[in-house]
Amino acid sequence: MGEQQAIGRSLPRLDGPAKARGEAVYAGDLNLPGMLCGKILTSYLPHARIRRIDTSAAVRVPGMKAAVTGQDTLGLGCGPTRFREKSLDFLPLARDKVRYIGDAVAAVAAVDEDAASAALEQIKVEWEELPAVFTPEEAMQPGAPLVHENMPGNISRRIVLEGGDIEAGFRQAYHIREDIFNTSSDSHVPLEPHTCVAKYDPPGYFTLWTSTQVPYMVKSDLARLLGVPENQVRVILPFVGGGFGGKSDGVFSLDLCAALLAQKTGRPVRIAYSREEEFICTRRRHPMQIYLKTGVNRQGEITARQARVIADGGAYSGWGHASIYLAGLFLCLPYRYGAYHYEGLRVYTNNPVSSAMRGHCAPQVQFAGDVQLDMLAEDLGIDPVEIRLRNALEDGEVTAAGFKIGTCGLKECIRKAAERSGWYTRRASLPPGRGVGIGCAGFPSGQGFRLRPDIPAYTTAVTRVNEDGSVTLLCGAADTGQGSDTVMVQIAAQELGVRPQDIRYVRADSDITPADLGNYSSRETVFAGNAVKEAAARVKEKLLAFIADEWQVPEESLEIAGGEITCASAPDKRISFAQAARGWQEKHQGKPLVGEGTYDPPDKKFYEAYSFGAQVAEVEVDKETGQVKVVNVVSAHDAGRVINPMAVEGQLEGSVHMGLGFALSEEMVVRQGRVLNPALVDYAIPVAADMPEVECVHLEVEDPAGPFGAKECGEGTVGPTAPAIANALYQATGRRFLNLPITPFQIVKGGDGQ
Amino acid sequence: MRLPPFECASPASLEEAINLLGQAAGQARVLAGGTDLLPAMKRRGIAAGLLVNIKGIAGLKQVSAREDGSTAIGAAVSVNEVTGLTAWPALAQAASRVAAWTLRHMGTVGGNLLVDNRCWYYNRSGEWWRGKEQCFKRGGERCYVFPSGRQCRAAASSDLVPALVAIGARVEVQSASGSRLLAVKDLYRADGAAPHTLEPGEILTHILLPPCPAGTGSAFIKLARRQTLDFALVNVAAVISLAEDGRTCREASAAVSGSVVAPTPLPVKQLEGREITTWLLDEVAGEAVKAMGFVTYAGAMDVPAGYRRQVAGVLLRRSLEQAWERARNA
Repeated sequence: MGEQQAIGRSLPRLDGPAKARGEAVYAGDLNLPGMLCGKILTSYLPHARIRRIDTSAAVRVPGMKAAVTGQDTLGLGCGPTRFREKSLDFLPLARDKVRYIGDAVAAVAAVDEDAASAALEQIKVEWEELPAVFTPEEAMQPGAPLVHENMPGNISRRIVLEGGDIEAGFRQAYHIREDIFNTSSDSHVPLEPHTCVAKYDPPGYFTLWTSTQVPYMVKSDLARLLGVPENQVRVILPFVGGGFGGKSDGVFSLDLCAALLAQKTGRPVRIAYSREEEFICTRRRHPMQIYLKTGVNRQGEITARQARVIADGGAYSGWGHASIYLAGLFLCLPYRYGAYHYEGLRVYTNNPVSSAMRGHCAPQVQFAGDVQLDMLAEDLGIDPVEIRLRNALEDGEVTAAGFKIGTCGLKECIRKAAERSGWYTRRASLPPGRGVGIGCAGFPSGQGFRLRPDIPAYTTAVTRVNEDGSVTLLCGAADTGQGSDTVMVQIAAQELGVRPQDIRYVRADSDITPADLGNYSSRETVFAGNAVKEAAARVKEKLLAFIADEWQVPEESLEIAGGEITCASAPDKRISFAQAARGWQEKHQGKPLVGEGTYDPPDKKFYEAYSFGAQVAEVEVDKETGQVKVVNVVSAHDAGRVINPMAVEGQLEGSVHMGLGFALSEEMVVRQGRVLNPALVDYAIPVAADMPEVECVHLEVEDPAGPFGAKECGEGTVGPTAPAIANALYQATGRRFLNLPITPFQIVKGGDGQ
Repeated sequence: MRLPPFECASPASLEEAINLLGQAAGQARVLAGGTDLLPAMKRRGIAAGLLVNIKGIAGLKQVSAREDGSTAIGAAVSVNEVTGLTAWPALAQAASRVAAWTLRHMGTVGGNLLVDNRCWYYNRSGEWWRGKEQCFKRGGERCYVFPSGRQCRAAASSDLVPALVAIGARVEVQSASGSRLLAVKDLYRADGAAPHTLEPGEILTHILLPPCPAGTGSAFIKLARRQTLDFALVNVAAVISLAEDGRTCREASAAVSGSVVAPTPLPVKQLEGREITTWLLDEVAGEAVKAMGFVTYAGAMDVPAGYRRQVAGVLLRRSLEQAWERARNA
């Protein structure tokens, strides 16, 4: 690819130098004049009615400026899935009752953190303790205490999905298996805990800098919670130190508390969660019990698959109403089922809140699905790679849940991963204690269904060409560390034919950039990317029309590349992009040369484009201690056209890290609603030394839905890691592991079956 | 989490430090690397009105040879520096498994010996403890991990100690009333709430390593959930000295920390006077771990005690094997 190509190049990240030098400004780095420190008092009871909150002693603490409680709010609930009224059950500041240890009950602002802490200790809460439920089983018992009084049986959402005749599917089966899998309570662990700064300007304007994946959702929700028109809330996205789904719920307690405290004191207020609060008071991955029944014919093709998933939703909905639906949808990726039946139950408990986390329920169900497929292969005497090839989705298929697949490079991914890992050569001759396993996954790029009727746009962008010919790209997409800013610039540069360094990217600021639903569901590259591409194309059209007119040549004969406009039919004519832009502006009375772009997905029910991947993991097990070393992982991924190979490799390696923790070590241990290990030293997220070698194989299958053929990357790839490891452990130990995480203790104990 | 207010003194001499500690009547703590003490203070697990910083005392930052052939490691020597001491491989191995590089750079040998016992309850912040009755280690009257227990079962977590116990190292302790020497194992008592035997006003100044006799091998193995950073689930160290025939065990010792309330020597004396075989090491190791006594899982409550004891036996056998191999090659 030539030097003039902006895409397909490992362009170093635009934010890289600032982050490496420590100059990037995160919410916690902002220092506004007169800024106060805010802190939140959380519930230490899992379930209790609030009788009274007395802040009178707190306000006498020196340096203390203001306190707020639920009585200072409108008492409205919120949540990210605005399409279902019932899901708006989260009160960022509790009013009448608390539902988990970590619910916010009051907040203070003081001149410094010590004063704020001292003031918090002086707040007296009179509780009426209520009986609590800590497991879905307990919660679903008849007569169990209700977490939300209006939700009988503590069922947060029940959903059934059907595709085909399930009974006929099982009748056609030559062999049927039933297994139960359990997955754990994982935490996102972003390096930067949730942090925000709120500023209030009379008579009623709020500005919020917050560490979020969804700035426009925050804006809309915060306006509603504060009872002010949306144009009185401005949300600015600072640099964000990781989200992984944990910052995609819209307004968190800190955002509302900081805004209320800023309004009350007239001074800016910063609230930064401690690592302990980050673990307890934000969100986590849904722990699931997955019953899975699968029938296969003699060739190992799946004739029917039936699943019943029970998810511990914790105290509030979060994304849960979508999550329990998505678990059912994603279980149909990446394989073809003759018939499908899914029942999902999301259950309220008095545990920390479950919501979206990288892969959004796909890693849980795909772990179960892929491990069971391995077991079926063995039952039938079919090679695990072969059974996957026989069931793999292909271009243009429709999944049992209704996804219309465009391009699908899964089979090629499986073959490449097998080939690169030595599946056919080394696997049979591995020494004892070693094993190789495969896992596969698929994932959509950005959702088409309207989650947020309150926000009219999916994603939009504006390009503006400045007087000097440089370009400003205004985009509401939220780069939370994954590198989408750089990718957007590459896309705009490619479309405009200018160099990436000539484009200045303006990050999400709701007063400046046009609306975007945010960074979740793997939206950015495909959705924001398409909007950016269109915004760039609009400018290009205007410029080319202008030049065609000037030169009296057909527009189609013009091309912009390398910052220069040339003409195929008149080789002697050339003009720089900057001069052309200047000319356009002069001709149009200095009018701004802008282009607008939007992306409106054609499929409003599901998705546009799906990524696929296969991973092969090799493990080494110390059978006496149960210690596992993942030696290497080959990750073959169909992410469509790769815009930035280096960024994609970062995503692939990062997703292996997350999948590794999910498989082997990460678990928030919650007893009686209390998190016992909310600290990096006690929650065993893998460290650098635990990481295997990761070999990335890009399969560039261009998908017509994405900008230049790109698809999502990095979210779907969390899926294959855990089943690949579990399947490798089977070869290494001769035992099956159906419960995550697979700890050394589980291995020494001998797993969960033959 | 913020540190509570405290005074901090940085004496230039040991005498001055001892004076300061003496005057503070138990309200002072020695500050060296601070990697364990300061987080504990932030969590309100430890309270101290005065911190006496000993990192400015030159004599405590050196490794020196003493006339009796022993090696004296100053208490304020960094853990990273110990990874380079080759006389006792077990000690270098143990040092290299402490936390992670940056923490080993800050953390000191003395600090590691006196690292606080760990427990998933005790390790939590003051905010986490809000509304909860305090446990033994936080000055209360109950244990959440072992509700029927009468005392604190927080786990001894130093990585260096088992190696030092197995080596037969001693520590030098100074106070206003003079100095005393004690075996490393005697620095500890089996009470997680007050795990160290140092008296108020005493400073641990040096760790004294005996010379490594001919025909001696030592080894250390740490089992933790992650390759770096973690505190141990089980740490085991072993030392074997061979007689001149190169086959008979002249002397053997071993010790464990991690899943015990106090670092514990493990009885491997049965090896002495016998010809070593792998079979014998296996047998002795299996018996010896019974001396671990009460196995605690307070420091990582998702890993059961039965597993820890089982694995301690494996680690002991392996460290004996490794020590034996080193002894043969010594």
